[in-house]
Amino acid sequence: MRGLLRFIIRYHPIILFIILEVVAFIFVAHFNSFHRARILEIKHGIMGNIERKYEKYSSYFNLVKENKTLVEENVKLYNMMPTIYLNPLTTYIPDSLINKQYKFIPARVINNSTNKQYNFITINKGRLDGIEPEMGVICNQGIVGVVKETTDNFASVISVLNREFFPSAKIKRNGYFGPLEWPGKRYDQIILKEIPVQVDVHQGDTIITSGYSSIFPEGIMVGTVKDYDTEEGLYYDIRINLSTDFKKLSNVLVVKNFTRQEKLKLELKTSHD
Amino acid sequence: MIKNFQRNIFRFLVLIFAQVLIFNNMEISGFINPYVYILFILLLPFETPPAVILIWGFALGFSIDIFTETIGMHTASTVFIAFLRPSILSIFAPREGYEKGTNPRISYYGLTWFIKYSFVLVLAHHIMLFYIEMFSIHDFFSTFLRVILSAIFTITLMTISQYFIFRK
Repeated sequence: MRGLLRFIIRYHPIILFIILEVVAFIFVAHFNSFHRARILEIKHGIMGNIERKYEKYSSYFNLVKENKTLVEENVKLYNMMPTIYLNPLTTYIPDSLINKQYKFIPARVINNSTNKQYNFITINKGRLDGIEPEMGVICNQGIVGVVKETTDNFASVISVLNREFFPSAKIKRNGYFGPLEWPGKRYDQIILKEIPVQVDVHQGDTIITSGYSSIFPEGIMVGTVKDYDTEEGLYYDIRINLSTDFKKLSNVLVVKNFTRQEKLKLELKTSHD
Repeated sequence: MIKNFQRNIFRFLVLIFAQVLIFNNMEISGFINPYVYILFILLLPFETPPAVILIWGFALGFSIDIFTETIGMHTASTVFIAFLRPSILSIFAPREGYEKGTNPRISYYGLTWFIKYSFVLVLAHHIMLFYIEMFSIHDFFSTFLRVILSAIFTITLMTISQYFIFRK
């Protein structure tokens, strides 16, 4: 063993050199406070970088959970909004039953189409979750459709992109209202009809739901005006860019209207004669 | 052999004290420091084994470090040139090789040879030392200027000492 060591030192001075240099650098790092601080600084810099990268990629693994909590949070906030009350209150009263007109139920889209003339959406909430036909469906960007049929666990929704669905909407700036109609061509455009020609309409005007049909609450975003023309001379056909992107719909809210039956009963009575 | 060793020890101690007491206090505009003590490594006899030069280098650098309170810095640089010395000597060897019984000094091989030989080793030592001291590539060029100027100063002092002090 000693012979081997002597051999190495005699004929391979580079090994002794490396040992001595390592010792010297350990001395440098150990006995000089400036160098120690500098080494720590470099080490922290490198480790910090690695940790930041790791954090960046590992955060993707939590996205599903993160999305779920965000949706729940959104629903909670929607259910606190003053517009859902019959007589909007200026202050929030922590009693969920007082005066309430709308309630929002979160759901996920599990089937969707945009390329037919009569498009339908399927969502993962049904009768057991309190979904009933004729309830409106919205999402964070705007309107989505209205519930048509329900089973115990699923509901089928008539999409706004359906030629038999005419929700009522209005121009936010001046309040003129009319029915929306989908011409069956592009998934990102819809027509607002029956706006008289004397109404001044501008490109970029915001279109919102009117709340008259008691499917959607008032003030849900529909889209912005793209252009308009007058075919018959009396009314505008206003082309609207839909704010909802139907191609990537995933989280939606079903709107329950507590006063719908009451309103319909009243309207039925007056339209009899 | 014994005489040689005694002479080396004597030179070792003289150079350390000269470095610590005189040359370390010579700071020209706080910028240029001569490190003449490595003359010891340069002047070791030709037949010294590489491993022994390394151990001498370690001892020399460590002694200087103790006095200047920069533990490790001079050690690392001196061990480095102790490692380089045999290769540099063989690069600058005269055509017929080094004669037996001679030492690497001006009196045997001339001023030009000594300056070439010392320039490489002093530059290597100073680069190593100054950059370990800075420990960053920040101010790279101003450090390099310090290296060059200090090396010139060190070599000048070494050459002068060859004529006056370490004549044998």
